[in-house]
Amino acid sequence: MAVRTSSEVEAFLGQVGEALEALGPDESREVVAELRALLHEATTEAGGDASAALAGYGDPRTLAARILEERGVHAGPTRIASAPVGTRLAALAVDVVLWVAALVFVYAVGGVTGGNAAYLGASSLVTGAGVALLAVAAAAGSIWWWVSWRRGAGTPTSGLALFGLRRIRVAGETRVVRTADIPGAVRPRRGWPAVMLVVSLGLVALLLSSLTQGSRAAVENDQNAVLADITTSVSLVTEAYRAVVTDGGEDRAAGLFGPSAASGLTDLLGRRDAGLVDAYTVREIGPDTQGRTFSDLAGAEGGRLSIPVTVCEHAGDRETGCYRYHVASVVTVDGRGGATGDWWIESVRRVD
Amino acid sequence: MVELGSWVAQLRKGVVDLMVLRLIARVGDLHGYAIVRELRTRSGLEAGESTVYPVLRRLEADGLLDSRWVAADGGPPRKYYGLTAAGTGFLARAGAEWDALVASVETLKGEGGHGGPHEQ
Repeated sequence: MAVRTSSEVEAFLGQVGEALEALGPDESREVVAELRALLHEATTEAGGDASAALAGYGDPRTLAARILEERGVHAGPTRIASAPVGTRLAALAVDVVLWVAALVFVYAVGGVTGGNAAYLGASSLVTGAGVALLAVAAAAGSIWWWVSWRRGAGTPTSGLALFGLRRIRVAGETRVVRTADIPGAVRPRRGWPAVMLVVSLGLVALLLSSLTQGSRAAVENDQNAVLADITTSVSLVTEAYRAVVTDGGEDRAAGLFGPSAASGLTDLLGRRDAGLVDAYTVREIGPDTQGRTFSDLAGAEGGRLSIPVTVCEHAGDRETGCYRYHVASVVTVDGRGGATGDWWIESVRRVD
Repeated sequence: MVELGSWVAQLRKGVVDLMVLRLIARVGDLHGYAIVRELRTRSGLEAGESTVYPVLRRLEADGLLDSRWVAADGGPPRKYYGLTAAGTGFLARAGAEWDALVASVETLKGEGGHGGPHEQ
């Protein structure tokens, strides 16, 4: 009769433990510990004959299979390998893109809806509430998606379905595996996830393009607003010189100077009479000293601009002096979405 | 043709749950090895460790039994099984079902006279 040593008992227990992988590490360890105790009892009762003790348990893999069967745990293949890392990352990237696209879509819908509602006269409270509801819906959808992902729900995400993957629980741990490796598993359809991905990427590209164009337009609008202010200011100053130097329209020039710049007009008239100015050039033009524009103030509550214009005077070929004019404008908002501005020369000083 | 041995094995497999629960209810908490031994000596049921032990795991997972580890002299700790309240309730209901089933079989068995050629 062959004598089995305790090492054979350990070998038996090792095979049982290995075959119980589907139970999870903690429970399989507990089963092995209990079987070790039972085999110790049986071996003792058999007078130290481990062979006789083991005989009552049969094949270790069969015993493990019965334990799993009684527990309702289906081991299937001993181990289903995890899907390649690259494939899993690609699936996750697809899910992230779809999630971002959904958020962008909700944001765009909310913005358009809110903007149109405001244009139609809805109160800010109503439009704000509408946008807030859309934001809550987007947040709730994101949380639901995250919880489903964490739970490893049976229905695969779009990213997983697109790459033929699925999340399963094996031996107490959640793993992403290829559906083709799961015996009898039905492969998910890839058509709809692919369509969703293409549509979402197109939507995101369209919205990004709109945002880019909007930003470019905003910059151009800002530049145009500055140019408009400068043009008005330069026109005012050159009109004053034309009136004084060319046309002799001193009364017309007087209407362009504010009270604080009256001496500047007097000085200009004096220089003209002294023959010191028969021509002029605009040397330098600046934006508002505080960087604002007429459009900025018209869109707010109004305000005051101050735009410098430097003009150099000539007598024949000789430059006789340069003067910096500050053109002021008071922007008044009329409450109906419009604004008006009064422009005048508020100060003059020699700069050369 | 159904082989008798296979049928008997299936029948025994079906009653092991009930017998384990009744044994523990009658004797008190027992460890696995003792359960197998007591089943053999008290009822004559030849159910090996490979049959009884998986049933113990399932009954515990189903909440009909609970367990505790007890240190043993000169050996590894033993795991003792006892009935839970749910197990006591289940045993009562399962026992009633069993009695009804046995009564039904006995009733059919007792309807003699017009029995088949193998009826005694």
